[in-house]
Amino acid sequence: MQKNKALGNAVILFSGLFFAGIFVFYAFFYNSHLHFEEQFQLHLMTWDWLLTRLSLPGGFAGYLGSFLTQFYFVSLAGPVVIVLLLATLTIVVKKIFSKVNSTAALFPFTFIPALLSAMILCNEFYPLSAITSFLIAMTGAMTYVSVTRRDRRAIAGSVLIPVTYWLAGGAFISLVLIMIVYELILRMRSSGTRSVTGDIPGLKPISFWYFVVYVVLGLAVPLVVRQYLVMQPLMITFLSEFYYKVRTTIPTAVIVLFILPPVIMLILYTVRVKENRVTLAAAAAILVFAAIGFLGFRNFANFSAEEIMRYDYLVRSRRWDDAVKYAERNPPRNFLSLSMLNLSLAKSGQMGSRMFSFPQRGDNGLFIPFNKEYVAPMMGNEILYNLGFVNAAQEYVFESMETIPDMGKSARALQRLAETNLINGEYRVAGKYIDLLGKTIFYRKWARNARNYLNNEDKIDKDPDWGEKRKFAITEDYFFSIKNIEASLAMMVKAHPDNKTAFEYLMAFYLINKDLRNVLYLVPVMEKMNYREVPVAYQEALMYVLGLNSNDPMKNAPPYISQATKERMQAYAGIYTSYQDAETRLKKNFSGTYWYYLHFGKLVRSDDSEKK
Amino acid sequence: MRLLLRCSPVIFLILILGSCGRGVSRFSDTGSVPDIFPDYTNVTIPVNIAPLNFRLAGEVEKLYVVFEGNKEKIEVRGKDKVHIDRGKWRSLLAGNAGDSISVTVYAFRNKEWSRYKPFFIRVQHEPLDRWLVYRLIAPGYESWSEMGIYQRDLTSFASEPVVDNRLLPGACMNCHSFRSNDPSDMMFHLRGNIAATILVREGKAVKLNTKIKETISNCVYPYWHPSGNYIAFSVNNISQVFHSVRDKRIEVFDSKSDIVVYDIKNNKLITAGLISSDSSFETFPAFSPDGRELYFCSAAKAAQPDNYNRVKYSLCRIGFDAGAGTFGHSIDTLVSSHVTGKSVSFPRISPDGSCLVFTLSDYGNFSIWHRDADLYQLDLQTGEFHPIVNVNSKESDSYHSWSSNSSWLVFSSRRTDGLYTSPFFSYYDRKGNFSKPFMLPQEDPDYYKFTLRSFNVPELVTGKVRNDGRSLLKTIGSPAKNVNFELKN
Repeated sequence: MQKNKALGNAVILFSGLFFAGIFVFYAFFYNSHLHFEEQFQLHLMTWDWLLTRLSLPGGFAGYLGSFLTQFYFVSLAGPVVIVLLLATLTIVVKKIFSKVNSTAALFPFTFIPALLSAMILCNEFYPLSAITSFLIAMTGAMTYVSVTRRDRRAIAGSVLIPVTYWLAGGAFISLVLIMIVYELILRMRSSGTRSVTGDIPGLKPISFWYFVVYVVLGLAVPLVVRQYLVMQPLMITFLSEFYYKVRTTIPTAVIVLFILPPVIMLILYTVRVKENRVTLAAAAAILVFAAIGFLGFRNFANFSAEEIMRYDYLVRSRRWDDAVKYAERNPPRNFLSLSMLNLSLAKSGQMGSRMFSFPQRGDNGLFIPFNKEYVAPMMGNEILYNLGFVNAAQEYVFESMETIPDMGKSARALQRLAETNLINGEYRVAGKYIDLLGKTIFYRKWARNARNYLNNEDKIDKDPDWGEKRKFAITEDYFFSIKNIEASLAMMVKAHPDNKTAFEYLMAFYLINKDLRNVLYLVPVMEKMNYREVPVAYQEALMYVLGLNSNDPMKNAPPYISQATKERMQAYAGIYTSYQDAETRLKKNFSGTYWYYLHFGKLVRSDDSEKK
Repeated sequence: MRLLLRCSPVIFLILILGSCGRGVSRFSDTGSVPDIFPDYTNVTIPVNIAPLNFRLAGEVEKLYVVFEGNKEKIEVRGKDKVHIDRGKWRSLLAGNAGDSISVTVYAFRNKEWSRYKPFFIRVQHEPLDRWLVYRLIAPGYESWSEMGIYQRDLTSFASEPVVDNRLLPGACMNCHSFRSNDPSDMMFHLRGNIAATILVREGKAVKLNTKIKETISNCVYPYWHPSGNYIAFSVNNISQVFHSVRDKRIEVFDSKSDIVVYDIKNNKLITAGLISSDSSFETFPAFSPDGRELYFCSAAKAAQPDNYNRVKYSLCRIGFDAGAGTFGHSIDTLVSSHVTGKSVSFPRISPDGSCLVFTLSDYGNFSIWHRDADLYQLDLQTGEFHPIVNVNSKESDSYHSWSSNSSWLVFSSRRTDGLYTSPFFSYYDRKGNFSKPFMLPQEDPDYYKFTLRSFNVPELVTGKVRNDGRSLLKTIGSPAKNVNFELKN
């Protein structure tokens, strides 16, 4: 009795730790993945949208998945949704497993499907609908095993297979397997092969012919649907387009998830725990569980991607200072993160002062080359938009949306498209995007506000963001290409010398490329920028040029070069000219200077290995 | 009380029926025609078109609409949208073919009804070909998401894919074309990793590789010869660049282009120096209905993209002998860019040979991205041409094709929002007049408001395209047949 109570407490503690762990993981260590997922989907709260989804096998699970994913918009709501979903799954799975073996000591097995689900969700290509579909199939299985009369169970099975297929797609495989395994177990029990410790002993198995019926239904239903209702590739027919975002890839992890419950049922059926070994069995089960969890999360979680997504999320939210602070703790390790940091530095007025405090590695850390995929163009659009290249930003974001692997749409992309069209005065198209966003839960408020700007030139002109973009509008047409970004920036700065972000990007472009000749050309523009204090990197670059061309650079330095810069240069030059191992000696105190970058910084070109 | 409860269903029914039959007795007149979307006011429609469901613009609490013909009328109630019963609609149109029906809209706002001035819909005897085949794709730049070629039953709202990238993940398909509105002879191109031309004749599909060393590209813009033995194609080096100013987006241009004709029986591409000249760009071929002439667009060659807005196409014609598979020895210029100062694209002749419609834009040939693109009609007898004022809009009016009975023209237009293309239909009375066009009706009038895909290349066909998806997949997965080449004349 006492042992049972202790075991009960252990289950409660285990459940608490497990779900709290998942919450903490997704809330504090992997939250940007959830934001990333949310922004690349568009869930409309309309009947049409629901009906469109319901018209496809697995569409209901897809709808449910995208409905829940939209809550990822709120940072802590996403982890709550995941925990609730997994908790429900665990309860349902527990009810199924208890029919086979209700030994309390084996409780960790009940959590394994939820554990694998939590791992799967670490991969941004697996949508939440993979888990909702699994939950639907498990609910079907729970219904099946709870029917005690075999004739009714046979009917229930024959109905559940097509219904589950239509609602959840390929997850019905899990249902069929559970049904077969369950009946096999009942058959073995009735033939006396083994005794059952499940909830309801004394059940009779269904006739053998129903096994055949289940298998035939399992094969025939998808094929009939493919032949007469929805013509799609065979793999998609038997699985669903809602399990993995790339339609041509086999979602292995999801298939493993689907096979897992019947396998666990068989394990549970075979495992027998003696009274005196309950604690040991529970400990062993927990150990196995922990090992699966550790290895699984190590395999599924991608913290490099999480870092990029974090930068992207902060930039998208215009939390420029937070992005810089994040970079201080997690310096960018690739061009995508670096470009988001540089944008944040520019928008927070720190680019000229602090950009070389971070590891600059080439102009790909300023601009993201165009790739036919959805991540880089989405992030690249932020840079172009903030520089005032509205059409180019529009192109990037449109292309990003068109390359979303699951062929869905993106709320974030539509928001930006609405903005670019408002700025360009294309009110009817802007209105279309705004109307669509008005049909969502979390963008409705934004859409309601944006609607007030339609056809209101004055209001747009006065808006701090959109008005600024209009002010910096390109009036002399040319064909934009990111490969010619230097020329585009130069034209922008020439036409709009007050576009400070564009000016600082152009300066950064030259500084990063160690092109001091062009830096000098920009000095007259810089002098008109009314800097209270000329950015340090500019001062350092100018001092360097002066050092090369003047006998006494300290004396001939223009007034905006600070005394601190002069003194720093003297100190730097002293070490640089005196020691062969200057790079090592200078690293400690001067690695954040432009001089250090100029002398020792390496220009790196992006390569495919960096693209996520 | 109990009696009242027992009778309540009956009372409820009486109230409902009573209110339905009563119409609206007290109202004020607005004195204006209602602002509805799509705009179906005073349009001309075929006798077999699906119900013209519409929405009343602005805030409205209730709607009551009366469609009234000579003998019968339909009353429809709704909130802000009108959904017409298909059976009643069909009967109304059948009973009023050759005549007009009047539509009176009553709107309920602020506790009172107001009545708009009635508008009229002219119903023509001549039916529209029952099916419309089109491509749905986002009006983007270089990439594509969900897209495909679809068919829509114009007498109802039923639509289905002919081939799409749900079936062929990652693929892009374009340039679907039919022989003389016949759904059994069809072709389309596949682009991307499974690039090929798929030719379907009498239900049998063949996969062709049309990229050969003698031509500059795969076959591109098609047009079937009426005999079914040939398909004329352009071969183009197509590029696109992106504008920076606010009122322009994309420029698509050819840096090279020629015309070839695919001889289906002999599996070879044929061409002649006159239609594949190095000194000019030739594109958008179209056979005359008798098959004796090949119309096309031609412009003097110029370096691209530097001269993108100086390349202007003329409408030209060359003879074609289908028996021998040979071309004429001279080219007629029907619409010269030197005269218009503009550029011609998409020449399409009505099946009865009475009217040629083309698109005219300021420059280039990719008129869908040109807001100035309008439809023009050319009288083939007199050689006179003029804009079709009734059908043109401020936005791009571009690709068009004819119904098999020469009574209807379908064309794609961006008039709704300036970006997303929708199909419109206009009645041609064979006396040179086109009616005010009507937009392809949808079950939900808000369809166009929320769709993120454009209707491209609307083609009318007399029946349903009956492709067996599985055999089509098999053909697409099989090796492509290489075509041969012969230079004629």
